[in-house]
Amino acid sequence: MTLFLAHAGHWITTIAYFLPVVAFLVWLAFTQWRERRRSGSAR
Amino acid sequence: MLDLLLAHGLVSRADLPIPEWLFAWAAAMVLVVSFVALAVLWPKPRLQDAGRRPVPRLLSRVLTSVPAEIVCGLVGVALLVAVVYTGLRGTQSSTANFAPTFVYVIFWLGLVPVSVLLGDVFRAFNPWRAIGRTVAWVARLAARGDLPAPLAYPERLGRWPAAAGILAFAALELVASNGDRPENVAIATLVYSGLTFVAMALYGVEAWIERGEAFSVYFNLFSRLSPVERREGEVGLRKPLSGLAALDPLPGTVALLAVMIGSVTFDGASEAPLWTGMAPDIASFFGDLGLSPSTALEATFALGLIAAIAIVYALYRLGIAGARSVGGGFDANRLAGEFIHSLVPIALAYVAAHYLTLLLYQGQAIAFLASDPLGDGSDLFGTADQTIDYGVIGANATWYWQVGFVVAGHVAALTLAHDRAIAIYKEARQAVRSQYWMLAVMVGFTSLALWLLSQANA
Repeated sequence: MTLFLAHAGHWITTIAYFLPVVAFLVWLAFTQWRERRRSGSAR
Repeated sequence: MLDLLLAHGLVSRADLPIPEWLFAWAAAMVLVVSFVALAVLWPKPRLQDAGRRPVPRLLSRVLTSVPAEIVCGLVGVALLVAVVYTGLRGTQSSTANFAPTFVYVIFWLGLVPVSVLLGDVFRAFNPWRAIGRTVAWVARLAARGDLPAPLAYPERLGRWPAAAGILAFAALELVASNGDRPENVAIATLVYSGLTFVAMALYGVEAWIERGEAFSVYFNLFSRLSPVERREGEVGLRKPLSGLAALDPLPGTVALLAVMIGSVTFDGASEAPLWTGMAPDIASFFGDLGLSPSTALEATFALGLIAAIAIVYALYRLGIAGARSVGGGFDANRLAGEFIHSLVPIALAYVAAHYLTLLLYQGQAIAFLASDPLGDGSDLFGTADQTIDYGVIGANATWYWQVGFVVAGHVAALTLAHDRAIAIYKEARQAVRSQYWMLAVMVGFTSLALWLLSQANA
């Protein structure tokens, strides 16, 4: 755990690089879920 | 690993106005804005028809003339001979011998921007094509007539031989512990030449050059970004990017692009703390299996290279699976082929950004290596005393150029994918929705590229 936290500088920065991808995928998943829900209620 | 390839990690940045990771966020925003702009302002396909304008007839005639082909072919053959001769007979110091710098920097990296600007230049200088055509011409003269027709190139082979060739080259560069040793560069060149001649004898010179010869296929892909093209014996200008839209998605093309992007990805990742922390453990695992320390290290790097290629391949196929989920009735392989051309600007962005400083710094070494190719103290052109000027580009300027290449490459990729989507989907809405997934892939590749670049100087 100590080692994990000691290297936090490395992995937090790495996560920061990939946050836009995560944010985009979350938005995409939400959009698809909403569309499916809409088309389900339309039927 | 290659001493000279480490040169691209020479600079470090200390005074950027914002943290490097924030550039990834900004790049992602640029992509999203570009995506919206394309959806609104680009309602009809514009790149699918590769219309072109001829250049002045005299210029076209000179460029495509037989004497020009002969001169270019001779230059290519002379350079091939120089690589083999200097590699075998010169000093075995990779930085003092002509062969490694010429092959890994001038040929492999330098020809990329030349192809993007001027078109398929390598086709003219290709030494294997020149030798193959000359041998065929001599054989026809000796036989006093036409030679037996070569075998038909198997359709299912597609670009697979080229993918295998580029993978082998990447392995020599990034995996082999002595891949930069001049003698090994020369032997690899001889082996590759032998295989190429056998394949050309079997399937014909032009068929093999167009589909199987790794470097012809590699540089041809980049040349499709160029507005300059040679078609039906004439030189002309075409719409930028339209050459890629005309790319035939032969079998093996997806694998080839995955190798092209994955090998650069691994080269960058191999400098990251994530890999440098993990590699010794993997090497010790291979050592426990009985491999020597050097072979264990090579096995570790081979594993890393394959993993990087697999990640790139998986990322693309994931995007395709997502695009397929919006409907349209396409199967996954058809969609993968339809959009594969959009990965070429990404491959270019990766190469340009990752190897910018290597090309600018180590590329200068060719001035003194050409004068003293064997490393024996000769001075053929009076440039043996020249040195590398590391001030040609500053650290911050390098970073901005790298970010620029990455963003421009991905915007070009988005444009190509969008244009193809509106060409193949019946409904505009479906086309745009399919591109949400390609946008996710592009944002992923952008973040990965900038992370890798940051790791090179971490």
